[in-house]
Amino acid sequence: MTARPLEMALLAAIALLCIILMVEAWQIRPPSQVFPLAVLGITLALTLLAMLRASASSPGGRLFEPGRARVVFVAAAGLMAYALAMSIHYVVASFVFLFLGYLFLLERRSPGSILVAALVAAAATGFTWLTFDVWLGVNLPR
Amino acid sequence: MLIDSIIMAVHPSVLLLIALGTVFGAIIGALPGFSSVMAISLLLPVVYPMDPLLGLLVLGSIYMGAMYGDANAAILLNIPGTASALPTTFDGFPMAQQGRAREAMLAALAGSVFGGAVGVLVLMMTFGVLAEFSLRFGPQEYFWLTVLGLTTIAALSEGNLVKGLAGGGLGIAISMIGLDPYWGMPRFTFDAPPLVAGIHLIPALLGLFCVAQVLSSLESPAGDRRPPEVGRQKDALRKVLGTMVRRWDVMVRSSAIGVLIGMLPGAGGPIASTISYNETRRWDRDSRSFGTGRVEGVFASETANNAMVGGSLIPMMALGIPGNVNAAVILGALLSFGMRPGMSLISDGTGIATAFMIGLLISSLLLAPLAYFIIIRLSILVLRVPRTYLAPTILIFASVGAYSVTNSSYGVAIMAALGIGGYALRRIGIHAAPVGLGLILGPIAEREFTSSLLIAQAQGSYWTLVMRPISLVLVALCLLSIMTPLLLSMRDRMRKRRLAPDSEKQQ
Repeated sequence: MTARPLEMALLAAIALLCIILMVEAWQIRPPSQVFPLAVLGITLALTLLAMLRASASSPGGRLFEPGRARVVFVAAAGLMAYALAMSIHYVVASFVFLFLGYLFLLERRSPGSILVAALVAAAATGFTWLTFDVWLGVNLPR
Repeated sequence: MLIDSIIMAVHPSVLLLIALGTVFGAIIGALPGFSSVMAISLLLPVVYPMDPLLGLLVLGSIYMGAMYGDANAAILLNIPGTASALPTTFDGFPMAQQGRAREAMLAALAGSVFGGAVGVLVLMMTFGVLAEFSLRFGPQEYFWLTVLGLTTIAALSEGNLVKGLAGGGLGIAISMIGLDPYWGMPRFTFDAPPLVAGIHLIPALLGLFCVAQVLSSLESPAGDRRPPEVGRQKDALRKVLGTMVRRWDVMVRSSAIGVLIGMLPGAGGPIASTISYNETRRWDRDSRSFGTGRVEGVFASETANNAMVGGSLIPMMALGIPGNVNAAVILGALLSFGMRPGMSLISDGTGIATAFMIGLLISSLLLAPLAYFIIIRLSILVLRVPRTYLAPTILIFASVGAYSVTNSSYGVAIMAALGIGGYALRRIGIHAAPVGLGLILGPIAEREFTSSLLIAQAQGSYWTLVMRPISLVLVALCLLSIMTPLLLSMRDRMRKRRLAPDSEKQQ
């Protein structure tokens, strides 16, 4: 996949969002409607201009180096899964996320590196738990 | 008052936090690909529950430390920790290859301490004067001042003004989600109850500056980076201090460049260090030897780099216009603490502003022993840590931080959404800086605009929005800020066109 389809799709999404928000802003009573309408109008115009320029430019190079798209997508999906799992139990979710994350990113896996990954995951989880739950008094989910 | 502020800033617990912030900033700054703004954003949730002075001092110390720390990767790996340290690689890396890594690292440290201290001293001398001047400002002037801050997007948008400004608009649009500040009615919430509370600034900044950066770092394989051994080089400190005294002109000139460039909205560390390096080379009798391991080259880059810290905080603290993204995030923290930049920082009776500046001066001076005994050793160790372990750990730290400020998974969801969205936008050339700036300055711009509008309606003329002496100057500066990159790119295109026929003729 080249960069241009992604660029066009994202710019179109921003333009659509601006239109939807402008429709909603139109219903706000003055004087509060002026600022949102002005900002959204300018943003919409700029986005359309960016789309026009993008359509006239060359298709662009490849989006990712071979094999790296999978890494980025798995990391993004993992983060979303972690955001959900974290609300159930912070320590377990964090340890699992870190351990699997390290394993996934390790270039060479051996029993030794897996053990190191588990130890680092445990240490990092413990450090964040101590910092936020114990020191800063945040009630982390458990 | 001054004595009270000094007492506040030198309290042992404050000094300890300043030291920790400086070390943390230097370590993150040393990691190639992880910027100073990421270091500041990452600790926003930690400082959020703190006393405002402590919180601001931790962030300021991180900023100071990160601007120094980026030199270590530049010298040892030829990879600048941040873009500001690029000119440090020109002479720093050749020095390391010649077995003078220790000398280069100490030169970077000496330059950073000198520049950092000068920058903060200038901040201390000018902040009050500029803040007092801001008393002449009404809502109209504040609105245009915020617009001027937003036009720094033009300088931050790395060659694509249209996309940069669109990103800024998107940032303002995101900041508008929640309750309408005038009527108190929900807007842009799509009937989702959690959105009524608005988009919390800290998770949003964590997403834009940490998550997007981490995802971006995963685009290339981790690779194997082994920094060279740093030899003992016993006379390194004596040599560096000797050159520093002999070449005081380099130190003074680079500091002045750093402070002045730092004060200009949008022009940050990379511009300051590059101009400083070029000027030092230009004024040197043996300019051709630059790039082969001249210690003055490292001085020039690093002195300007750290002098820029104080410079960028001058317009931020006095007027509310951040000099760069780092200052913008610190402004975000200032606003989160319920404080307002300008004269109110001086007249609030707490002495926080003075204590903050004194603490920042301490941070810049404390950098010398901290780096000499701890940071240099730690940086070499950290540079050996495989990136495999960094990315997931930073994501966890950012997530728990986002959770802590909202006490719910809502913060983590905001962070993840803006992080992934910010990463996608980055791929199409809309960088996090303009979106983040829009997010921080949007609510201020809206408040001042609505007030100005009401005044204009009461006075019966909308011209009062613009037709005031200071407003007119600010409008002109806004136009200049937008037009300068456009004119510069037009000039470059014309020059390229002129050169193209010449090269064809030569072929």
